Amino acid sequence: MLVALGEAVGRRAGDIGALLLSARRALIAGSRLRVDLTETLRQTDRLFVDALPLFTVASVAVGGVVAMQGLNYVARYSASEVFGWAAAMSAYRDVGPLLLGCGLAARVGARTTAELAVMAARDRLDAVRALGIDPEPAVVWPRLVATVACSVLFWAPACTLVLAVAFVVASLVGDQRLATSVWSVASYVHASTLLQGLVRMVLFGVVVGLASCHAGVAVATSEDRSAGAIGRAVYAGAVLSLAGVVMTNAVLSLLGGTG
Amino acid sequence: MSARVASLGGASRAALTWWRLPPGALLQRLDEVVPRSVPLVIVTVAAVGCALADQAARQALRLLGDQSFIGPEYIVLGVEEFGPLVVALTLSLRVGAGFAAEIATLQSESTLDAMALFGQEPARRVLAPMGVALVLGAVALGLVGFVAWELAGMATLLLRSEVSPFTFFHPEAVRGAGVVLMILKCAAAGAIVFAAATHAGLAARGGAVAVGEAATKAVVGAVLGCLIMSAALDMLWFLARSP
Repeated sequence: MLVALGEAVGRRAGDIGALLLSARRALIAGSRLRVDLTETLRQTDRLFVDALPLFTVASVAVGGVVAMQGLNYVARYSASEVFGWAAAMSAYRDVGPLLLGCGLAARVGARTTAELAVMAARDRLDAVRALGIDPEPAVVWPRLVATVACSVLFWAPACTLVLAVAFVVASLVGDQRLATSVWSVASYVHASTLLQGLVRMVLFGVVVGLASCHAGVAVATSEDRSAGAIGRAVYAGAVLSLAGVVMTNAVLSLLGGTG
Repeated sequence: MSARVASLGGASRAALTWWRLPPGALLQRLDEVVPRSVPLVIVTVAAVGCALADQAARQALRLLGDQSFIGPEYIVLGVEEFGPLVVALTLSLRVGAGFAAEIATLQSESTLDAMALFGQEPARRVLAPMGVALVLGAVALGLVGFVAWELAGMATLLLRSEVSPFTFFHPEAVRGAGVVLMILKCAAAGAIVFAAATHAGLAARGGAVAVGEAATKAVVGAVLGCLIMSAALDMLWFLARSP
């Protein structure tokens, strides 16, 4: 058991080290504008459109979760005046970005990993290299930047939808008046709360992008390039993304203000 | 599509008669779902719990000047809401992707058809043990997650706000019905992850690309299904408790 634990810790440490190296190379490439801009825009458009249905449905479901979470306290403490504020904090900064970050890992992250893993397994990355093109700025980093761009683009509409659904559900299921909820948001929610939520979502995008690209490209260095190896790469990327998102969320919550 | 639904139906029927499943296959799947998911479940649930406990404590201190009610509310939130939800999302991403990739590999290499041809009943030998292990494993992981949730809250409040763990821990706040809700949510999440993985895996045709797509579809379907299930059960639970 100790050996298994040691192996698991060793693997995770290796993953984190590789992720940090990838992040460093991506930062350097970005600062020198070595990322293919056209490919980045194409990937952003593709990933955004692809993930739109998931984010819409997920936002409605998360709105339901946020509403029910708040309604329990409204009913128990007769606190309908602060329901809107609490729901907005949850939607824009805490629960909303966290659950949307999991959605990002599931849709955008898993897709990116699968694509890169298939390219690596079929030697397409080597073929690009043989043509004298560095696959990282041409193929990998555009997907990383596109994942971060998607997280930014999704944050405002998705979190607003979460809040709107929470208000509607609270007025239909509970006795929470819509006007009171909206007044509560206008009175108590500060711009810093929204900014913290946006920063959180950007960092989730970075984590999911790095984890998914790393897991996909790692297939190139593996001897096993079978169909099963692609599946395992998606699995590894998903696990790494999820762990990264929740850990980042915890660190930001501990460091952040009360909003 | 109809063949997929039939296979899923066959696997579900076989899973309902779980005592007839091969014990070795069931134990192997349980080992894949529970012990290998425990570290990730502990990390994710504890990280979410740590973030929520700290924010709740700071907001309570800022607005009300009192943190004494955080303990009872936090433990209820862990049992009825976030514990099962985080476990469900973890299972979707960890086990859902793995099982879907395995089923998709078997399907794309025609191994499932070969098993059926030789009378090996792939629904009973391969798919059903995954389903039973996911439902049972999700409940077991829900209980593990709850312990991690409460310990993370205690540690956070002790280190950040100097609240004694004995003051924070309020097991009496948890009601029997809340525990039933947690078990129900976890079991439903296990069933959803199984359905998403099987449906996506059985649709795979044509090698590596199809396996990658199946794993992605399974993860998306499971995450979405678990979120909707959690919101729907919360609403039913709220309405059932309303006077």
